[in-house]
Amino acid sequence: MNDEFLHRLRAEPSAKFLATLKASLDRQATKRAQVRRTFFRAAILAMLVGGSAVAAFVAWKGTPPSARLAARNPTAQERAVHSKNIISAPDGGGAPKASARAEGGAAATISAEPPAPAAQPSSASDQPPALFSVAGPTAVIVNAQSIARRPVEMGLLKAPAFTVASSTEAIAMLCHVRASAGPERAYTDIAGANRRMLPAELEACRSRGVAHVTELHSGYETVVLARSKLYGAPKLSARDIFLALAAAVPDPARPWMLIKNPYHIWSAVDASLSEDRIEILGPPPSSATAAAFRQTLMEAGCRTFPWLAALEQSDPKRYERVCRTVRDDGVYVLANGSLLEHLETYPNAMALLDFREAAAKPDALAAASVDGIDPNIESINAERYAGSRAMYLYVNKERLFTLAGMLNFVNWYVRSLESSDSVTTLVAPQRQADATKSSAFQDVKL
Amino acid sequence: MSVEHAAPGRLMEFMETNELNWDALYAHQAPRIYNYFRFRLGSDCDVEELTARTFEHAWRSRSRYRRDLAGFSTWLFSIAQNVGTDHLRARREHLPIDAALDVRAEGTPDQDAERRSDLARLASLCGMLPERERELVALKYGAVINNRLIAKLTGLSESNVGTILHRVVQTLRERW
Repeated sequence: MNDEFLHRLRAEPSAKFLATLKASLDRQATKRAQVRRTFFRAAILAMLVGGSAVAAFVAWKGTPPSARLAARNPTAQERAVHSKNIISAPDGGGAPKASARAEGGAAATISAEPPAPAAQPSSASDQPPALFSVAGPTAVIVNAQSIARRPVEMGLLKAPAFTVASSTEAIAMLCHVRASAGPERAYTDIAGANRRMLPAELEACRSRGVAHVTELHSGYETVVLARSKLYGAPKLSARDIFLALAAAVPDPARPWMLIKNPYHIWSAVDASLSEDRIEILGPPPSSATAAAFRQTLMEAGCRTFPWLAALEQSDPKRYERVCRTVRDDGVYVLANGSLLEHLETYPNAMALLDFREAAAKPDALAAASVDGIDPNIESINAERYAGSRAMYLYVNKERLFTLAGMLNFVNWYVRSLESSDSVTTLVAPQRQADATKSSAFQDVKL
Repeated sequence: MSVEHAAPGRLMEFMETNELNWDALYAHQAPRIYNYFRFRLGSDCDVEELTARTFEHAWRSRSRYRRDLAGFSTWLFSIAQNVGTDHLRARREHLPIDAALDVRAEGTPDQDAERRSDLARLASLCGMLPERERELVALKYGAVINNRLIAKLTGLSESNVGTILHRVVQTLRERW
């Protein structure tokens, strides 16, 4: 193609212009750094001042009125007794109100209109009709909240107290196992889990007087890797995903050894893939989506190495560390507000998303198939897509008829699963809807 | 050493070090952005302003972007495209409707083009092309970027970009 006449039209910008612009950009960078420093200083100062004010207020409130009037400081013993009363004995004699806590495994109450009831079956009859509580992983809680929102707004249901907890913690709370749930945990009437209850847990339930537990299959939590639709849907295998994102992978030269993940381009992971740089944008590791990713796609890829799969039995802690640890060397980066723009700009970039999040933007995103299976409602319900896991609700059946609104809630929940596959944040288990209907109030059999 | 000749070496350098040298990037990309706007606007007017605006946008948010030269080019040119589009849109919006009455045909495009510089001649010829094709010419010959990157920036397939450019260049050459 003779296009020399077009190439000749190019011209170099003037040196003066380039130098002036560069100086302006350098000044801009310096100014921004100064602004950032000033902001941080101001923020730290504000925190110090605010913290002091809060401390002063708390100290003032913690002082008995008589003592305040007498303008004397309470003794340390008085303060300790007073604090204890505040924590352990709310007015009305209910259970301690679970306080919202950050990371670290502690439960966080999301909605706690009236105080959560003490879920001790023996004391239930002494109390006025109380609300019930639902505890479980974020996905289950968000799902239950979305199902309950409309009937609560319409006055058909009373809002339960929702508490975010891990599956193990939630089941322990249901079964009144304080040791596992932590000393200050409240009990719960309904526990959510991203796995089925273990026979040992059911046995623990029965031994602690929670004799009748019902299992409801509440849907599938599903994650996908997606990129901009401009570049088409990637075709990956679970092994590719594990090798691309695990912190440690088997050494190609000595496959029985683990090495720090050396892969930075897809073709190094699998020669049939493109030579694009691996870049995955996703939510923080503590999020429900990231946790689901580690326990579905990553773990499925990890298990394609037989000796790593065998670790689950021989060394469960190592298995979890190897199969569920995402690399932190910059290949996995936290997504920010301009995710879609970033994906459009960078053909190599993919985003880790909840299935429904990706499905809501069919014109912008193309989700990767994994091992030849596209993520869609059919493949998820058929349990063929590797990035999906079933979620369950376990209901303390004895509480169904003693706690106000609990039976209504469970009925509503079951009806929602039967009637809809799209209103909830989980993919509803269509295939099992009939089974759920027939077994809604039968004791779980493991 | 021209920019084009330096590019592959720099690309390798950045890929290997995985650390962006912003000064080198600026030296490498500024002439390309500058020429992209020259081709896009068909004149030297406003080109410096738009080049500066593009880099200011990019420098403000550079910490958010990945350290990869190819990715950086894509990102930078997508900013330039937006800056150019905004500029052209604003320019059109500010043109009073009465101005359309003053547009008169002064001979054929060829006769008119003879009175202008080569760049203006190109602008005149490109004026007859659809917007998308003008953009492709600016990216290919102004910014000197390959068809693959153009495909990413425009949403067209790589082969489609090649086909369209081939046809456009033939048309332009015939009328040059």
